[in-house]
Amino acid sequence: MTERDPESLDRLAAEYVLGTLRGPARRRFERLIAGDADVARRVEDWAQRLDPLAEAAPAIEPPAQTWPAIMRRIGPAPDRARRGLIEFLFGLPTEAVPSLATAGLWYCVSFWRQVGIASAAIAALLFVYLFIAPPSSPTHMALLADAANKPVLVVSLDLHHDRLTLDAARLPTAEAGKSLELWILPPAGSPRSLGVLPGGQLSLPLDMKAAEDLARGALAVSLEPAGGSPTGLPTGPVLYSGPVLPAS
Amino acid sequence: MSDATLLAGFLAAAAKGDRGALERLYRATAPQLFGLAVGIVRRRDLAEEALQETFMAVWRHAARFDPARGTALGWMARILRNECFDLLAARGRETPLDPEFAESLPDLTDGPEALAEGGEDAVRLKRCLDQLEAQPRASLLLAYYQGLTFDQVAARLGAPLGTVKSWIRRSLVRLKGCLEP
Repeated sequence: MTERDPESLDRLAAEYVLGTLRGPARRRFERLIAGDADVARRVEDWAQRLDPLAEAAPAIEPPAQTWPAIMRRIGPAPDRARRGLIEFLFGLPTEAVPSLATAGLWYCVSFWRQVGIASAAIAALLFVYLFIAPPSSPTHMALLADAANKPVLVVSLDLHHDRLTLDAARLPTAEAGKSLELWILPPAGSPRSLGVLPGGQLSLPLDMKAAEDLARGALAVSLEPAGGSPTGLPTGPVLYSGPVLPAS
Repeated sequence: MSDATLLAGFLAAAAKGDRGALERLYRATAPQLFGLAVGIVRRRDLAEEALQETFMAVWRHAARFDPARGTALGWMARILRNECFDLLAARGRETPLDPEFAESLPDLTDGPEALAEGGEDAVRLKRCLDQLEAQPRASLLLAYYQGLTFDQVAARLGAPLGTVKSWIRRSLVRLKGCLEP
């Protein structure tokens, strides 16, 4: 983005809200909104100015099946979230996952029974996840696996409160001079960094865009130069990845 | 209790995980949001997809709604319009008008009369829109209600692209000035 004077930013904010800013320019501007409080405020102000237009939209009755479809996607009440996770691990989930290389295996119950589920490591991770770790009720979770499909990291997501938590203490440490970096793989578009992984627990607030992408996307960990990728995109090999799935 | 307060209450309850409140919010707002989506994506199936995604996002992010910064319907409409733009981007620009809806889409480009019956902010916005000249106003409203780009507005109104751009940009600046407290 080259135009940084207040007038241009305000014009872009207005066009973003109106909708005439589209395509790659819209994506670039969304990154600017996420990283710049002044730009975010301008967008908010424009949204407030134009919001009332929605009141004059014509009312058209949506198809009868829309609400039941939404309820199916939202799933049962949250106190069943952990039971849902267990059902997911031993049965087939119902929601589509992004097309990651691991997605096929992820769905394969026999794979889990053969390699994953009985191992002491995964049992320990799940024990931590199900009974000890979660500070709040997770709405989604991701189990990141290595190239051999061995699960190595549980990530809990509470998308009601926009928080990601994980414990990287059990991860193999990166070699000297390297860092492990966590990425969102959105359903469309480029990976976005969530930062370098610490050696232990991480509790990370998520912005709205990140939470939305995560609900439909995946997570990955790549090996990067110390301090993280210099380019903003993964430069090293992807060591671990896994789709984000609803916990209920 | 006004409609806006009622909707804000539903959103607050939904933020606490109340599925019943989300359903009441849906019953109260879905037709208007669906109408807005149909105007932009111009297909019933895509509009339904946008509506579903919107309510999933509303469910996840209801806690972010701040009644001090706008109405619940306005906040949901922002999410919906973004979903519509994402859907259009994902499918290129092929969005033929579903003939079933061609008849039902009102022309809002003269200035949406319904604003006059809305809340205080809606009435104020209508007064400011009324001060714009006809074609600049139509350009702005085509962009909002039908999600048209500068190019598409120019084609629709048979006006040069540069003219349409400056109509819309100048209209936005004038609206901002007119709406200043």
